[in-house]
This record gives sequence, structure tokens and C-alpha cells, in this order.
Amino acid sequence: MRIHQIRLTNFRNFSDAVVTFGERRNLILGRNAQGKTNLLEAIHILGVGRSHRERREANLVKFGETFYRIEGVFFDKSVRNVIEVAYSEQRKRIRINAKEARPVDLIGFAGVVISSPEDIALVKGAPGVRRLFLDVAISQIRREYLRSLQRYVRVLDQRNKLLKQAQLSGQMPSDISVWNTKLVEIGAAIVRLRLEYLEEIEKDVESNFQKISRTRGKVGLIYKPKGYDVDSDVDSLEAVESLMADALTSLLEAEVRRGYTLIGPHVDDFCFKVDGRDLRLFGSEGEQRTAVLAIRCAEAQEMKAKRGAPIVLLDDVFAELDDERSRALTALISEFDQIILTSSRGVSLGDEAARIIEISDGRIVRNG
Amino acid sequence: MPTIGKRTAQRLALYLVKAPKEEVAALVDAIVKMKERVRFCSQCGSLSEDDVCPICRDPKRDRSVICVVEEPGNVMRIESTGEYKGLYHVLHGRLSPLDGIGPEDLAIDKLERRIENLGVKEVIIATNPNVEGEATCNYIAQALKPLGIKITSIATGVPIGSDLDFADEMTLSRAFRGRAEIK
Repeated sequence: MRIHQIRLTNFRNFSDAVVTFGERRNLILGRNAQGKTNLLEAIHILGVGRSHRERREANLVKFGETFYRIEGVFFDKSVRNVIEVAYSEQRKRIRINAKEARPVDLIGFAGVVISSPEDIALVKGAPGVRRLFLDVAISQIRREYLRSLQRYVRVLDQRNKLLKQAQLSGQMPSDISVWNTKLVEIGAAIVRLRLEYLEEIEKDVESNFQKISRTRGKVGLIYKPKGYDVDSDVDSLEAVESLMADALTSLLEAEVRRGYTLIGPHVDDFCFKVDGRDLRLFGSEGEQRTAVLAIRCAEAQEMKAKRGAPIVLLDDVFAELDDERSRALTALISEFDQIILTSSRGVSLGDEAARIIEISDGRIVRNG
Repeated sequence: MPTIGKRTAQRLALYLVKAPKEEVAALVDAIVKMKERVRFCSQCGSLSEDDVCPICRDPKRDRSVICVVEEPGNVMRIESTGEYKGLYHVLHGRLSPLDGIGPEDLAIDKLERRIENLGVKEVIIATNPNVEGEATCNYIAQALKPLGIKITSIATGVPIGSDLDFADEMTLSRAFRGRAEIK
């Protein structure tokens, strides 16, 4: 799907703004702190229901106001779709084509990929950042992954409550085994899909990494489950299930002591290796930046292959790159359909003409 | 009351204000009578006006099969299909540690006793297809295993009258796992 128009009301530093986008190349210009990133953030919210950088909805409301509202008009070929997200009185309301919807209904509807300066945390940051990347990326292309995640969270809450009870009473409840079974069954399905996804994008990530960095580095995306190991011959759901079940059995006592679940996809991680070197620990700043760009481009390539071209949101991605790397990235993104890119100075998006959107202090001063 | 929001409650109240007195009296009478008469069947736990419900009393029902459900409402739904001729067993809940419901709160010992007394050959578990219902199903299946009887669960899969294109992957993959041979 592509975005045709967006209307922001009381969102971040926008009081009321309407922006119309071109079908392919869009360049958002403006000095620093004028609202360029806020515009990308709003599109991202319409795509997956949440901000890519702010957890508290209230912080998205313009200072001094009580609500925000984002409305986007999208086109799937010639079919028009309208998505609205509004927040007021601590409640978020979502509508898809005027019908009330849940946040999960948004995920995968429009299809978005964002690359922003915060992305450096994908390599350097805490494991939660990487899990969120996997969850958003896979949920947008595989509905069953999202369903499994929702079921998993429910099982986890139930099981943690039971472990808490066991911790307090000193007795193992007789129904712990059925919650173990559910945790393993749904958890393993999630791990399996994550393994599949990482394997699927690894080749693209490697090729992207090599193109941008102009090296021949061999890239590995290695999934790291907590409490057990998966190697290359773990290729069936049953294999993951039995590894997880064994780890769970050996950890049960520790879990009762702590009062919560210690293994499962909610604590797993993955790492980015180049020629066997973990970039989080041993990568230069430049390599780390290149790595996250390579991952984001691969996410977009995978989405294009599996569910249709995403809206690609690129926040100031050229800022930290030298000329040669910039040229390589420009060539790489030329295969994407709709791109919306922010920059504080004019940049070239290849041969294609870009629609120019200029922002100054939360106002659109030029649109096309 | 469940499913009744503030606005619906207002509408109902306004309706009663305008309704003829006899109608309101009849409604009150019906509610009081229901409260006086309706209780849970001492055998299966379903709704009944007597100590034992009409289904448990019915000599034509197949006593070798018991269908386990979460709530009395589930019995009514299954009965309305006319498909099932056996007996029922109502758990009055599902395993849910978050709601403080454990195995001891569900009528599982009673189920075991009924199975032995009646000489039941098959137990069909018809709990809801969500994580709590599935955990409950697994728990009961495990508890009944030593009895050596046939234990089944109702099929989950593609709804009738819908289209394969609209079924989500999880429903479809379950439907495949639970596929049936065409005879």
C-alpha cells in the first residue's frame, strides 16, 4: 500500500497540517527540530499502531492540548483506505475505513518499514529492542505470528501468576504442567518463525552490508535463546519444542524461587556477526550503522517479496554516511516503491524526481 | 450485568418506566420464580429445576459418553444442534491462575466419580479454543488418562459457510492437523 495523504491534529509540534505524498519519491526538508521526524512517526503509527521511539502516548500530544489525531489516506492500487488513530483521555481509538478496529488490526494493513537514528540500538542496545524489531517485522508479514504472540503473552501471565503462588506457598500447583505445555507449544512456534525469518533475510542483509560498506564481510544473524542453544540443524518445530521443554524442566526450581518464567521468546535475543565478530562488542561505529541500514533494507525487501511493497520511511539516513556509502545506499533503495525521506539538506534519491515537502516549525511551507 | 453498558441500562430502565404495570409485574414474577426454581443439577452441574436435570434423567440419552463444557450456556448451545445424544459435565469455569481458578475449583473429581459409576467409555472435551480452555482440556485429559477410556476433543477449524481465503493461518493449520477421512 502507499500513503497518499496525512492529516495531523495536535500531534507533536503540529497543530493542524495536511501533507500530500507522491507515489514514489518524497523528500521532507527542513532545519533541525522543525517536525520532520514527527511526520514519519505519524505514518509509522498508522502502520503498526505505535510510535517507533515514544512509549507514552500522552507525550505525542501537542504541548498544552488534550488529544491528538492522525488520519491517513492510503491506496492499494486503486482501492482507497482510510486509517485514523486518535488519542484522548488516556484512550486510543483506531478506525479502519470508518470501522472501529484494534491496534493489532493495523499491523500488516498498510505495511511500513522505518529506519531512524535510534536504530543503532538494534546492534548496540538491550535485547528488548531486537525482539521488538523481530516482532514488528514478522507480524507485518505473517498473521499467525501476531496471533501466537498474543496467545503467548496470555500464557506467560497465567504461568507467572502460578509460579508466584508456588513461590509464596512453597508448593508446586498440579496445573503447572499444562501451562508448561502451552508455554512450550506456543513459545516454540514463535522461536521457529523467528529462526525462519532471520535465515530468510540473512542473505539480503549480507548483500546490503557488502554493498554499503564495499567489503566482502560474511554476515551472520544468530538467534540466541535463553537457557538453551539452537544450531543450524535445529530445523523443525519439534526440535525447538524439545529443547525448550528440557530447558524448562531444568529451570523449574529456579523459576519458583524467582516467581516468574525464565525462558521463552520473551527473553531471547539475536546478534549480528561479521566474519564471526559480534558487532555489538567488536564493531566500529561505522560498521554498526551500516549493519542496521542493511537490516532495515532487508526488512523492506522481505516485506516486498512476501506481502507487497511497504512504505519505506527513512529518517536522516544519509547524515552519518560518507559520499561513497551514500551512493551505495541510494542505489540500494532504488528498488523500493514509495520512499519518504527526511533530510536537513537536499539529497539525491537517484535519477527519479522527488516530491518536496518543506516543514518549518510544525507548518508545511511547501508540498510538491 | 454482563454485556449491559450504561446506555443500554438507561434504555432498558426507560422502557420499564413506560411499560404497562402488568408487564413489569410479570417480568418481576418471572425473575423471582427463576431465582427460586433454577439450580444446578446435582449430577452434571447444568441448569435444572429439579435435583437432577431432564438430560441426566432421560433414559434415551447415551450414558457411555460425557461431554465436558465450561459453562451451562455451552450445554444449551450444543443441545440446540440436536447432534449430541450423550450426557454432559459442566466445569463452571476454566483454569486461570490470574482469576485464582485452579483444578480444585473445577468439578474434576466429580467427573471421575461419574465416569466410574456410569461406566463411561468416551469423554469429549469441549472447552473453548483459547489458551485457558486448551490448558483446561489438557489438564482433564491428563487426569483421566489412568482410567483408560477414550478421550477426545471437539474439532476446531474452518467455519461452515465461510471461505478458505478468509481463514487465518492458525485456524487453517489446526484444521489440517484435525483433518478427517472421507468415508
